[in-house]
Amino acid sequence: MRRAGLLWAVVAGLILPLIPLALWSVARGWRFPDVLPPDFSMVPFHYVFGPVSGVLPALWTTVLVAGVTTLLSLLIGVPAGRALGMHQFWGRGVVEAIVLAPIVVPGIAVVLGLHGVFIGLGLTNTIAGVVLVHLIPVLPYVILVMAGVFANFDSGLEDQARSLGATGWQVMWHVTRPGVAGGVIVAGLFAFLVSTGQYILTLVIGGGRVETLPLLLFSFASAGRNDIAGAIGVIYVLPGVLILLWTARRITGRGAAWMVRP
Amino acid sequence: MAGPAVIVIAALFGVGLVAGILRSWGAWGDVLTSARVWAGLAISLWIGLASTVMATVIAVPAALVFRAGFRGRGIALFLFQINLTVPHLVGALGVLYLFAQSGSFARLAYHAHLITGPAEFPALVFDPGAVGIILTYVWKEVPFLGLVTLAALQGLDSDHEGAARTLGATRARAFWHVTLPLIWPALARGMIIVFAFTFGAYEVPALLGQTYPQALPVLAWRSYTDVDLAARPAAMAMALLIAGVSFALIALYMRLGRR
Amino acid sequence: MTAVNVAGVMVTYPGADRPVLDGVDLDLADGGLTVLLGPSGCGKSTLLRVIAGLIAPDAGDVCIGGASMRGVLPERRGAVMVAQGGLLFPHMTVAENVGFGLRMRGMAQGAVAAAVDAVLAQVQLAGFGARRPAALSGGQAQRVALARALVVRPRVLLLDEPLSSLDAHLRRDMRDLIRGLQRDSGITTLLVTHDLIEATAMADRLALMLDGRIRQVGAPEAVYARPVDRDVARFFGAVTFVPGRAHGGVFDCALGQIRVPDDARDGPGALVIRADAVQMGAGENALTGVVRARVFLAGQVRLDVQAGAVSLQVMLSLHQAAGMEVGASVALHVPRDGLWVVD
Repeated sequence: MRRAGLLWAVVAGLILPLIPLALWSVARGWRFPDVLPPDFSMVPFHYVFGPVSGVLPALWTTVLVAGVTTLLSLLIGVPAGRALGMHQFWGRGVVEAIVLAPIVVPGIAVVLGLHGVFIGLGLTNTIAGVVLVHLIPVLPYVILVMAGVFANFDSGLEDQARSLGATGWQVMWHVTRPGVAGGVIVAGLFAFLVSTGQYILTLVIGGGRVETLPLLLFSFASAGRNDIAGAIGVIYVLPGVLILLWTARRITGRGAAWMVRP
Repeated sequence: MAGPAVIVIAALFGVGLVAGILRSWGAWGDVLTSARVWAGLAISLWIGLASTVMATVIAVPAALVFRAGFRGRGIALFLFQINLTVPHLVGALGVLYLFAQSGSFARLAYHAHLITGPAEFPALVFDPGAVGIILTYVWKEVPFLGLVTLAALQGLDSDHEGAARTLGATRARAFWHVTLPLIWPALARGMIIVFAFTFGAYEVPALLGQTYPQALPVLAWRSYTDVDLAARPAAMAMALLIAGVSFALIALYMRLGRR
Repeated sequence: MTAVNVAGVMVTYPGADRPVLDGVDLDLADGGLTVLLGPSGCGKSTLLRVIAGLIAPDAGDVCIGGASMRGVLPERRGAVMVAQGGLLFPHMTVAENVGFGLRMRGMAQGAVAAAVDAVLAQVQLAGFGARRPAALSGGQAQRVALARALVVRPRVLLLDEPLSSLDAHLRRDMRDLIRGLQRDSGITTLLVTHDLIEATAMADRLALMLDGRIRQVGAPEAVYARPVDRDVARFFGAVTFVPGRAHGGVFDCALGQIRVPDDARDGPGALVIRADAVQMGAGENALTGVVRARVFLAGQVRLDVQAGAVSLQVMLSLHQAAGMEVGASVALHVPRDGLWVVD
């Protein structure tokens, strides 16, 4: 089938940029005009995991920031998602617009203004400040995903449980929780990815003191260290691919695409 | 129940915006008469428009093929989605290694005797047309728009396309007159999000852009970090310019939702 | 001439272990209305889609007007499908919906408008052209869908459960409208339904489909009175099957010597007794029994009667059932015309 062939070509094109990246991470002395590296080595990875590169501390910072951001977002985002997904209420349009705004408005548009305020509050150059600013893209994301999850959840089940004598907490634990747990996990994993993908917000509020993986990657890349950048890139990509592998089957149906926009 | 979340978003977002407006006071005259700013706005709009259109033109047919089904669809769909989780910065690096004047394609061109040295390969990164930036965004957004379209196609509750075919519409006309209008609200919302992102994101043009004119987000950040602190209000004004375009897009998005 | 001939059509959906259409043969007479009857999930709608060209069969062929449709695209077949619920395009007005097929054929705008007005009047919806499908009732939407199909003057009309989305009181009107329009236009029509009453009321010819196969084709009354096997009989409401042996118009079984139609098959088999064939009082094939249960069914009464070793169901009018309470002894008879013998 010709159309399937064209599609495979598109898929190949989408994968293509990842190949030189992976090659660079194990290349040695790869100069123009060699199409493939003349020699392979693990030197870039040794350097990356060594004490000089600063990758391990950056990795730790990235995970810490993303982890805390994700937990906070789930804590306040899941109830909001439930409200948007299951209920009609007065002012709903305004709430939707507020939730939508950070998804459409680029980070640079608000973070410069926030910077001045955060200086006054002593939040610049701190992990806390970076977590706070990461909430701007992550929280709306969690809310929208959870709104989709709750929209697919039949609230009749809760009513049924209530009429069978369950208390509010019992309903939540025995009926609602099993119904949406999968969605919460997926939302959390991708929220984590959204946070690890932030560049400009971290740069402005972290002021270079809070150094996450993307910041390090950017500096090695602009310094022309292709091998090191390649190795960091590989490390950076892996968690997302693993998460996608694990969740690919869970993400189906209407609104699925919105789940995966880290 | 939406209260705490709305307060957090509104506070962070609103404070950033209001502080920006207050601190940009006085810089607007200079910013709006600056050739650099207008050139930056133009290049950013070009990047957003070209990326969105190209990604859509690839993504929609891809989604149609995915809906029709074929051998190996599951694997193809997984590979198609991979980029969704790959950070933009990594994609930009990949594009750099492929399309730079000493990149993989230049090397292949050398071996095919099309060029005799890196300098002869056309500049596709750090170039005035922002080709490298656009390629990065297309690479990243095709899967997103593809999945948005696929979800919309699968969400069509019944076979309007089949009805159109038996009434005499060819495959192409059934798509154009029936299927496309039905998926348009979802697709348009996806396109708006893609445009807003590619118009206003910082790191890709910062890595792959040329030195002049710079994309508006890059210009804003460079002004903000200028040694001359007097440039900061101008940076705020540029950031608000970006916000202004985005808010127009939100209005468009909400209007699409209402229909 | 636009007779339709379906021969040996096989369809298996990807991933399914049984074919949904398992060697279907069916001939539609030119200009007639054939009803394809069967329970939901038996493959009826799939067969419609095969004829329309929306599904390519794994084997077999469809001929329209004597020409093979193998490889012919849906838009070239002249076989228009009216789907369940109408499937109106929600983003177009009623007039745009109805004119769609003509526009696809490149007809000029003025001519399209005139044709649309005419056909809307035919389905009693004159003046509805500017409305949106969302503003229509179920019956109106179904009529628009019918108009949208008729206006292109199809060679074959394929109707998929056209009445199932309608309220009971609208069904008869719609049934008469479809029947009338079909007779007037003389378009070869295949109508799919799972509803026995709808099917028998509308069909020139009835085809009964079970489990992906056509089991019996014929005039509705013939199929009803002379089912070819137990499954067909059961589908038409028969619940009592008495095993025994037939010979020369007499069936020997637990009820005794029962007279059956002369054309019933000889040999071992089962006597089919439909509830509406049993009558009260004395007469041919007289029986006695005891009422075990009595159920009032909106104007009719169903009695479960134990006649010796055989349990019978009897449908009576309210008037006939007077005094027949549980435990009462009753005299019944079953005229032979209401009986039949199957395997």
